[in-house]
Amino acid sequence: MTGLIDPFLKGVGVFFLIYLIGYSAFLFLSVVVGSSELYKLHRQKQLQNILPNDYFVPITIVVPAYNEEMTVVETVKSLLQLDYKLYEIIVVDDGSTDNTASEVITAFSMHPVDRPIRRQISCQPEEFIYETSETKVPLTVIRKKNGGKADALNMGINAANYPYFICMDADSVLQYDSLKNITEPILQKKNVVAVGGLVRLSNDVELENCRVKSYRLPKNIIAAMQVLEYDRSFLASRILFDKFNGSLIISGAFGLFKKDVVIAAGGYDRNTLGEDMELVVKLHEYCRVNNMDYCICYATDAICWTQAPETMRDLKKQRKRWHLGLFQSMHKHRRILFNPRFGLVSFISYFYFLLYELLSPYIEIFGVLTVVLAYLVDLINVPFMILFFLIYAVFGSVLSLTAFFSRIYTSDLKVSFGDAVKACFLCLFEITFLRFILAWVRGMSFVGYRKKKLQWGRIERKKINFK
Amino acid sequence: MLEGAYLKDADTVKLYLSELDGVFISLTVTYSGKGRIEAAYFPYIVKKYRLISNRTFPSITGILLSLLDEPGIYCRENVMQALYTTGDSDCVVEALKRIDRSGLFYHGKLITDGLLNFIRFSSPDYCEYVFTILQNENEDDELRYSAIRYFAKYRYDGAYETLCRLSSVKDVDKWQYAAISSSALATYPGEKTVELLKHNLTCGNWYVRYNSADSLEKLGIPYPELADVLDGEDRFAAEMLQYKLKKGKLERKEATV
Repeated sequence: MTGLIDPFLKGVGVFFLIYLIGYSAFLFLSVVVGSSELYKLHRQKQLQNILPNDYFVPITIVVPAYNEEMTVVETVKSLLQLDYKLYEIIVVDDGSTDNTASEVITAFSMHPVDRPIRRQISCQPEEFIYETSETKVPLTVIRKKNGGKADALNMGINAANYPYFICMDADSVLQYDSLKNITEPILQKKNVVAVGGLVRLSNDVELENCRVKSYRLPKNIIAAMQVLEYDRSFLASRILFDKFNGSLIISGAFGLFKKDVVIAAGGYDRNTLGEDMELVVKLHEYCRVNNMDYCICYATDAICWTQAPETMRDLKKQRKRWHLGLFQSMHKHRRILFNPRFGLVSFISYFYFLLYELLSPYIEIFGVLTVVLAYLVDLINVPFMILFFLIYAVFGSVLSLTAFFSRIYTSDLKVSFGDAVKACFLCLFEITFLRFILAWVRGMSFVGYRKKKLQWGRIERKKINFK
Repeated sequence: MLEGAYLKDADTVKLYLSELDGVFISLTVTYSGKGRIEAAYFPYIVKKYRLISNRTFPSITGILLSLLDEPGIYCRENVMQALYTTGDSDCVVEALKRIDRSGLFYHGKLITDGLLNFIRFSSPDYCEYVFTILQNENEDDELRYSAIRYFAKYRYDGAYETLCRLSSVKDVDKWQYAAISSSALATYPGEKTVELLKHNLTCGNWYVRYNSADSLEKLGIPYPELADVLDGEDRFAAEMLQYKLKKGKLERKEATV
């Protein structure tokens, strides 16, 4: 038996050595590239490398909402304060069981209209439509039969009057300059079909008129760890993928898309939980198959503030949902893998997401079980293992902190000394504990999969700290 | 520091800067040899403090033109903004030709909006000039769309026939002309306009129908004149017109509250 275990463990050792070298190299490269890119952008802003304020790309903001009566009015109010001229807001109530639509209708004294909807993408039928032109920009509320978030977004796209649309969550707040910043790549580069914004966590951040009034790390430890995690993933890997037009994810909380291309590609997939990722992967596939010159970009200075789950229960729900969405998107577009037609999107982006995102929970759980097995058969050097684990934790923490402080510095934000110390400790905690807990949660995400297939993701909502 | 002083006393700062012409020439050379970000900052300064505003300054404009070959969009845009302040149309044309020759990407919206500001499209004094742009079929589409919008804002009877013709364009690839012209016709009331817009309501293109209905509502055409569409067999045309008429009524009601 020992004769079999020994070569097995050696094989596992070699696999993990390659796996971890690959991951560490990627993480290091992405943080270095991300930080230097942020510094470059900061320098550009300092030296007035900005486009004048009077170029406006017309945008429709689609706000899909399901049982959002607590936050939706504040969200619309915040959208009306954006520093941009040419946009409209469409709130799509996806058959809520609460008063989502009526809250908005009452708050803005809206009127019913018989508006014809050009149904270019299939979606559930509308029940009623309200409009008003009394607000700064046109505001529309469409109440439709329940069909899921993707279905609500498709309705918003069908009703959009402008050539570009933004999808966002009903519990998020866009920063005052976010529309101007997210449209800049369209003017900078040829054939931009989608632009991702930067999602930041708003827990304990005070916003006034869509501007940050005071910034601090959330008091809640689970939310605070997610701040570090978001910085690492948003500011590091996404910037790196952006360098070779290889972004596979634009967060559903804030992304801009060219309407005609999205319609031509078929809109949001109503049968996928991760409709945001699926759309981006689909756009890559659509454009490459049709030999279109296209660009999917990332605007690091277009900021959306959103709430992070503050309980482990909500966090687990969210991550399970994300993992299922990732699986569905990757499975649906599996032909991209190792397909030369898709270039670096195939060989780097898709492969990275497959190995280090989709399969990583299983690989990590397998790794822990192997360590236990090796310990039981006394084939492991415990002091070396502990040292190796510590080096891994410190390495990961340093990179997380680099991403965190780069973002703080380049956004002209200030954190207190206490928050800086807190960030250092939480980084270690996140790498050593939270990561493994979430790996387990993600690994178990397929349990009960069929049941939850088309439900809206729900987490505990709080009133947005917005004035 | 300069920005702060400019906010306090712009005239004094401008006078101070105008006395430093020689310094700026040497700075132009220094900045143009630096990196992309620094190179873009110099034309910004020229624009912001209007260093070459309404005067000839060949040494600076020459270097600004050479900066157009820089690959960064900000440098090109800041140079164009600086050149607009000169009021020298030859210089602006030379700059656009240079961008064209370089093959570097410069978004059509930046060109058209910049030019519109430059030739002050915000006043009705340029009807004849804008009309020549509209008539020239070899002109950039974006620029011609802007010309149509100009005539939507400023009525010019000389452009009416052209707008009517463009609103009836059948080419599916040129639907934008029909849509924007249908919108512009709201500024040109008359029997012919109404007939054209009613006809355009039956167009296969959504935006043409949408804009035509919008124009008919803006023109305040009474119901009996629209009855043939509202009670007609084309359901798409009737629904669109009904929606626009009701929306217009609501907007007027909201405005009076």
